[in-house]
Amino acid sequence: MIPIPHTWVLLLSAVLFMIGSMGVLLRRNGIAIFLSLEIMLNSANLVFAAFALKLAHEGQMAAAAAGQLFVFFIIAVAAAEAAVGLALFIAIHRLKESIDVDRLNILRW
Amino acid sequence: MPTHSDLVALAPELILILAAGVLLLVEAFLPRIRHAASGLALVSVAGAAWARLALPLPGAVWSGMLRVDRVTAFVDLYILVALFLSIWMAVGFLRRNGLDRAEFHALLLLAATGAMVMAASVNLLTIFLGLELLSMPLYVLNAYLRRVDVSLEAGLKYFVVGAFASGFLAYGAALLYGVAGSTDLATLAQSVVQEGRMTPLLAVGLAMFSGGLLFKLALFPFHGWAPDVYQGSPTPVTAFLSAVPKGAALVVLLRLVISMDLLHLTNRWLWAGALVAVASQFLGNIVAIVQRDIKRMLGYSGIAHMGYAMVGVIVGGTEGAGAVLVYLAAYTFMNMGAFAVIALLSESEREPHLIGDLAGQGWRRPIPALALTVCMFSLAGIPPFVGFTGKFLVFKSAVDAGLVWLAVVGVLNSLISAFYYLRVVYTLYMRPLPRREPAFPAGFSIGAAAATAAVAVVLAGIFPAPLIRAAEAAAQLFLG
Repeated sequence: MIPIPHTWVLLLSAVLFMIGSMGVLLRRNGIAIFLSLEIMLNSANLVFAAFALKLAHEGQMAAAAAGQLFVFFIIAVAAAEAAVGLALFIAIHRLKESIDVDRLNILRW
Repeated sequence: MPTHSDLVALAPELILILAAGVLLLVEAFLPRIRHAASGLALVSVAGAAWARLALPLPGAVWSGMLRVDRVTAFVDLYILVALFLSIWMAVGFLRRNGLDRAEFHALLLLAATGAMVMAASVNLLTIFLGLELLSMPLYVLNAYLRRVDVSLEAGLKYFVVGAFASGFLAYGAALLYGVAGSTDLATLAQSVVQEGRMTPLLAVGLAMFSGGLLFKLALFPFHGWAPDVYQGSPTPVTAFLSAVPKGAALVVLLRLVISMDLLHLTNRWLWAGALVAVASQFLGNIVAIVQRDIKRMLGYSGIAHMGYAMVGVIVGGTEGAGAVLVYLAAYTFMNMGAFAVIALLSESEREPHLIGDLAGQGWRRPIPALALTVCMFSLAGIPPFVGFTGKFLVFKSAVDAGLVWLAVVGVLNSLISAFYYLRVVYTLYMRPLPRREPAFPAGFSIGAAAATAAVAVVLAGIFPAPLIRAAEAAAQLFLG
């Protein structure tokens, strides 16, 4: 089995981060924005995993563990964010019968 | 294993978390005594402040993840004062709006805990976790008036922008971890200093990480959310939001900048930082002039104020850091005071808070109007109020570092800002009362919070020495 170089993983994560951030900026549906946010956080997870892999190949196991730990914390934070975000979307849907963010435009200039 | 001293060092945070837990239980199981919730919250804040003042400051704790030193203590006290004033304001505010629930105070306590963790952090992991603990309760609090569409809109905007910023911060942290092979800031700084130059990975990592912090500071080019969220959120939450996250984020930024000595490492830092500072000042001040809603105006003014504080961050070193800490304290008092008066002099949360609604109130309600006047003068940077002290120290640090032009731009911006701050004072005293006089509901605790903040603005402005001494003593520790 040929090991995958960590630069490839970094490249993939950069692509994912771009997809996520573009999604947040361009999509108008609340849930789609939400999914894009999750993609952004998970692309950061991939970077941590990639660097941890590199450090593990170099034999620095303690340093690798620090990065892998960070991943678990990001996953937990993403879950908490999901709880808060979905609650917000439900509250908005009750008031507006829609979660299209373009319909929320009272505050401007 | 956490030792005894690790736990003692985090006593203030633990007190706040405990109180928040008790408040949530009260709301769930003993709703009859929920009117005592704000009292318990205020006592716990006072207890946390006492613990921070009385207990020793051991330095590095929790295996070096956190540092509890005089910087942390200074920022903790700043956060606790802002928290105290916000809760005090919220007592009257919630009663007026029929939302007198214990969970409001619990969420404020948790958010403040997150800010305190962030301020003590010297590790990318704890910075990230502190930031999230600070942000999540605020997403809920922004949308607390859940039958009011502007409040929900503010909540959604802060949530999307805040989560977007977290994504940037996490990605930046991941790249910085790649640079240093560690999430510890000191190790990171060491490897940067050894390298002696900006590698592309480091530059992108730092830019994304500090980009995430700039979102929280509402600095250009990540300022877009601030006016909307300031306008739409419940006023006590706006007051909290305008002070606490900014203090925590600025301290993290200072720890990063000073540990790597960025000003001397690369020119790019100076130019990027100066662009952020100058653009924030001009944008905030110029757009604030045309605002009719006073909360929105203070949103733009907040962008400009963080632009001034950024000047001190660019300069870095002991002097810059000390100036930023004084500026933070000054900004908290005057901003809190202004928002308290706004909360007091508003008819309903469903209507915009127009500056014109304050017409003639200077004679009708002299004490709140006087408090607002003091805060406006202070925000404009007019002596003898504390806003002048803060600005003076920040600009002086820029001049001492040879960046005279940054100080000149700052002074010029203060002149622009005087225009819209003084227009509020003009409206209060020189414009006649409208024919249909607005009926403001009673709110003793809001008025008390406003008066306290205004008195602090005056006292700290006339006797700035203790504040400056405390900030300088704290700033010494950024270096080691």
